[in-house]
Amino acid sequence: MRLMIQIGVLTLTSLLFMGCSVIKEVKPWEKETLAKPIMQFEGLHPEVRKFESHVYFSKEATRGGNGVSGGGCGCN
Amino acid sequence: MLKKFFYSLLFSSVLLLAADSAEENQTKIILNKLNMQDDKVYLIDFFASWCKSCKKELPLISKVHNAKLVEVIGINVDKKREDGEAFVKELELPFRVIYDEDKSFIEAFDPMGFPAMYYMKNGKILNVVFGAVDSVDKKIADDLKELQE
Amino acid sequence: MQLKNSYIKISKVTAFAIVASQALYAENYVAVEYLQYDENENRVSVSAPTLSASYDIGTDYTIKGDIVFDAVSGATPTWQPDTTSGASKRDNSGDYTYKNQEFDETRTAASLMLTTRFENRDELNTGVDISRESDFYGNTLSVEYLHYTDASHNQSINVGLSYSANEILSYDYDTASGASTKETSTSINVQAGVSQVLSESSLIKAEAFAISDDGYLTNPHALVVRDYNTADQKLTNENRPDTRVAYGANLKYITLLNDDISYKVNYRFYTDDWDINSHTIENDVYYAMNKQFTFGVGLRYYTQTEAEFYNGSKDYFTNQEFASSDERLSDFDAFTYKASVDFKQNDKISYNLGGAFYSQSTGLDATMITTGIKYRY
Repeated sequence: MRLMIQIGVLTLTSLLFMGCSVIKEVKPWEKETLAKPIMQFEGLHPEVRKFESHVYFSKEATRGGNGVSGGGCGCN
Repeated sequence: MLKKFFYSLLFSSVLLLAADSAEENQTKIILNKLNMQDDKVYLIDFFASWCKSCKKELPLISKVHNAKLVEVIGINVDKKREDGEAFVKELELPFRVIYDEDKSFIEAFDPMGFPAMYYMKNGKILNVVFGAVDSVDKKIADDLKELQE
Repeated sequence: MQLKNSYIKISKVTAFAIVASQALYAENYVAVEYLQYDENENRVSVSAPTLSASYDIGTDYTIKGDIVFDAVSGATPTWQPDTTSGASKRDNSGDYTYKNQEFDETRTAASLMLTTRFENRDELNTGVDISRESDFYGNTLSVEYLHYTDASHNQSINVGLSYSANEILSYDYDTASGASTKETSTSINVQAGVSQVLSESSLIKAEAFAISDDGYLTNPHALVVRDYNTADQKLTNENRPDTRVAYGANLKYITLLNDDISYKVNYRFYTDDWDINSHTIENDVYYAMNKQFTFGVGLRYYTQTEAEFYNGSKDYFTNQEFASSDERLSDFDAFTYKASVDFKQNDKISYNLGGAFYSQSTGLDATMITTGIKYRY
């Protein structure tokens, strides 16, 4: 599992650095792909994502990183 | 040494002039394709099927065209022409639409926002509107009044 | 180019038009979602119908809200007197067993968010969240500001702050009456991030966050065994520290693999002063098969270390101030496997169905089913 995390972190870090060196200016009319529903960070259904987050919040001991909105619950 | 410098300067100037004249030619081609009559104001509207704001604005822009307030020329910038055609059919756009598959129109205008509207007359841009606008039909009517003043 | 030149000349006299750039309409919708969550061994079951809606007021405001009704039933494991060894509930002379304790609960949670867009198209999100249960009241206020750093809107920075105030009913296991006391807790969450469009088909977002919790952070239903096998042995409420400070970072990347397939990866690191560290990696792939069907699969891996005051044994705790046997504070990892399908009937109506299997190394397994309908207008 540690290996999986290391690979993940390494991939993301290299993507970030690669990203910095290959940032291409995208004009407002070139955002056809970025406007697609499958290209949204919150997925196709924000409500489903919220429900999943709630499950993780109540079954795991850590949270954060998905925006500042959203309340707690008496579930942990 | 000085000679070398002089030649390279001359060479760069020729290149720049060539680039300028190429751009000018390209502009002429674009204006020809727009096929606008002299001394008449046109509204050039850049839109795409993936742009939600365009979908809200286009029925109002159609209304302006139908009321003969201004002649609208639509320029669709969808990557796939068939997506643009289906969108035009769905919204039953009453004005002339150019499918800008090679992006030559939009690259020539290079708008800072999207959707983008340009008021043009005699090959010159009179005014621009970038981004979505509330009650765009009213905005166009107001803009035209201002341009006539 | 001449077009640009004439535009530049004109721009001097029509500067108003240039600043009014980049306004966008979002999408008005109403959605109903039904969510069902079931744990193995008939532990917790949750049925949660959700209603959500979003509405644009012109191009400058969007109001978004949702309300969810959770009906929770089942049981959650904690230390209890082992009745098979002859012990009764209050008899501290018997043995203890870690087993399910039954409960029923309903929860209503609602949220409302207002997005305000300014002339330069920066956004301010102001939100309220409330959660109501018989033994928990929570209210959260949040503000988040998003600033575009370039004219093409390829880069943005955001900062956010939220404040939560909660009321919790705690049950004192030590008193025979099981009297309840009203406790309070607060939480402050700060977040800052940057988002960058890398190309026409990829986007990256990095965020850092800090959370500070204060007050009653103990699980009111969880129990621990103290002084096991001594004259003082007893079952009593767990006790957690009344402050918790956490830091973390989140990195998200999304890209289009080909015309119809997108890949998203999200890594989160978390650390707090209870000694809990966690790593989360989420991978999602979406395939837009045609204009009607979109399929999704996802894999999430989560791992955490245990809290410094956690111990799962009944013969560990003596007189330590802080003690918990709640296995959610233990060292464990978890996988989630997800699949979903979306069907777009037309531009206005779409349906979705999703399933997920969640499996923790603690032995907890759960299934999540989500189904819904969305109407856009």
